[in-house]
Amino acid sequence: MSRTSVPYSNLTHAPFSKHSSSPFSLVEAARQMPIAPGELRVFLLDDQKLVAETIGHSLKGEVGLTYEYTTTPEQAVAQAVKFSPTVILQDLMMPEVDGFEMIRKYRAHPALREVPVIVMSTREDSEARTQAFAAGASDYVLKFPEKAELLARLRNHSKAYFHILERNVAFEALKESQAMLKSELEEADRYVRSLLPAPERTASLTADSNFISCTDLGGDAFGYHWMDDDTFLVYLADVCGHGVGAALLSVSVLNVLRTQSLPNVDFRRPSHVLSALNETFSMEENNQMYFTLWYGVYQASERKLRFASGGHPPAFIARSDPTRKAEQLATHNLVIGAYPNVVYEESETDVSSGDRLYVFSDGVYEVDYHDNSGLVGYKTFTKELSRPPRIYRSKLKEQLDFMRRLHGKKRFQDDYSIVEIVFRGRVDRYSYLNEVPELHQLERDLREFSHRKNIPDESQVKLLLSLDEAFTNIVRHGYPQGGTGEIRLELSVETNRVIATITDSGIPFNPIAYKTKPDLKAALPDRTVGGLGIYLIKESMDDLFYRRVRGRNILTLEKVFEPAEAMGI
Amino acid sequence: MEISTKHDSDRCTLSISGRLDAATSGELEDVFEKQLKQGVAYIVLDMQNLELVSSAGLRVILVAGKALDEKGGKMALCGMKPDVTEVIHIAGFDKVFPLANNVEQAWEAITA
Repeated sequence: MSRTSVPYSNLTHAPFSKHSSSPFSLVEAARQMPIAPGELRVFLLDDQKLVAETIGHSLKGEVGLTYEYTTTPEQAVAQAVKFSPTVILQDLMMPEVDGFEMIRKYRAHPALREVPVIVMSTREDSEARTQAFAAGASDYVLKFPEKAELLARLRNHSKAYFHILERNVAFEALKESQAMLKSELEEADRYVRSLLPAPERTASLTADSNFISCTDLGGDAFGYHWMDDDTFLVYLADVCGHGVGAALLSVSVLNVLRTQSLPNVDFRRPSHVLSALNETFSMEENNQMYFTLWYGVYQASERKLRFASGGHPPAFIARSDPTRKAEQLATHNLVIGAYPNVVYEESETDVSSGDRLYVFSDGVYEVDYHDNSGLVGYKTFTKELSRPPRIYRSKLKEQLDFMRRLHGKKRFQDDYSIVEIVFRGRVDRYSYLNEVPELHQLERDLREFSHRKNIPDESQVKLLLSLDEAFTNIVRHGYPQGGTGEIRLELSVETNRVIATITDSGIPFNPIAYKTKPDLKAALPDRTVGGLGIYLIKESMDDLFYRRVRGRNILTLEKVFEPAEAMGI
Repeated sequence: MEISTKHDSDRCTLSISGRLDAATSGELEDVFEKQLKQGVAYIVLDMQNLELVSSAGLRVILVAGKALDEKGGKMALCGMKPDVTEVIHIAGFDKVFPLANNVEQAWEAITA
């Protein structure tokens, strides 16, 4: 056996790395080809050594040609895989196994499946040819072919094989680049989602949202946050179009609003904000893209909602007072970014406990009916919104289910983005130091508040116990380094529910996540001392909500009481 | 919070009123310690004038109960208002301390 070896190993199995992070290019694909163009690697299996050497002799000296053979059929496949031929020459009649069987073996092996096989036999009958081609042969020559003819066939088949490899490499590279693009879009989608706000629940209000993107990346972005103790901002932008470009602009707008980074702009004034955004994000400087926006400012102490919309669908407020009709909240303004120096108008409305505000993009209602009989539309969408939620507090899930029923599908044509704010009663605010004796003042404050709001004793005692536990926890564990801290308390009443939000700047601690439950059945000597406080809070309250925001723990406790006794809301 | 004690050899009746929480539980803890040092083994905790008990107060009661148990003594709780009874039940203290309507019944429960 002669061997002029080039160690190609099994390159045909994995022509390039699956983990390559370089983008697809033909140059890169060509670089990853296991063989060079014009390279000819001939592998022969013939039980007669003389034949093998005769062929080897006739091919000797050909530029770019490497030749290897075996006379042992059992070794042929393994040896061929190692050699990585560009073409195989195969004898038909051998004592142990026939050539047809060998062709089938090559075809069954992933590394040899596409390597051309030229049968070289003394058999001239058409049956042998037919059988050879049926087994997967690429060509058939009679022993012994003229050197020129053999070389021509070898080169032709090698070239064809090279093209197959080239195509495979290009296809794999394309597949890889598509997967990479998809994963990068998903990464961007995750980033956009990470900017969207978490649910919020305090004595002042609850805020929540729903976002279903129609493509990998949408043009909607929204947020809400407390600008200060009394001012809550809510905003939703819808950039024209979809995809990466729209998402980039929507994220830019969102970040400006989240961080309130427009110089010399009072973020309490919606019209000022819209004007400043209009100048900052002009179409000409933003790839000919504009956006619509709804921007609202809730002033808790005034119970007023000031708002402005730029080309955006009206927000919708459902009133808790059955004598008041639901309202559309919009101002007649141009979209943002279309023309410079536009003057934007703003408007305002009052807010009562239990009123529900919805801010959304047109994608929530521009939805086809399942039978393609038309679009659902704003009117039908808001009519459903105006119905009070069946389950306390949020309408979002019901609303989504409603739209999905009408549409007949889980996803919609456009982004489905909606923010829900439920306003609660007027808030009373208190402040304490992180010292145990302050508990006495907290008790006096809670008793006075409960008396004023006619909260029944039983609920009052449970709330006092829970606040006592939460307060004690903060004082004892919240400031391990010592030092003075402020613990703030907000109290409000919404219908038959008293709500307390306790805020501190101590170390992060989420009592809801604290799962340790005391063993209430243990005998006296085995009872553990401690761990009861949080358990008592959980047992005494109807709802608990915790968030860590900007270095502060915000814990909201809610207790339901008999509605007939509720007054002074 | 106010605490009054009636002490008779190894028995003591403690009456507590007001709130038993983090701000006041230290006072009760001191009284318990003093009683234990004086050789008290049986305590009835009269809670009829107690408005509220928090986990800080429950902790002090539990620690004292364990100390009495180690000495072969006992403690009973009595006279609780419904709100306080509820907390006692939530904390599972009804499983480890006899509960009684009044002081007399409480003494019967731990000394009979």
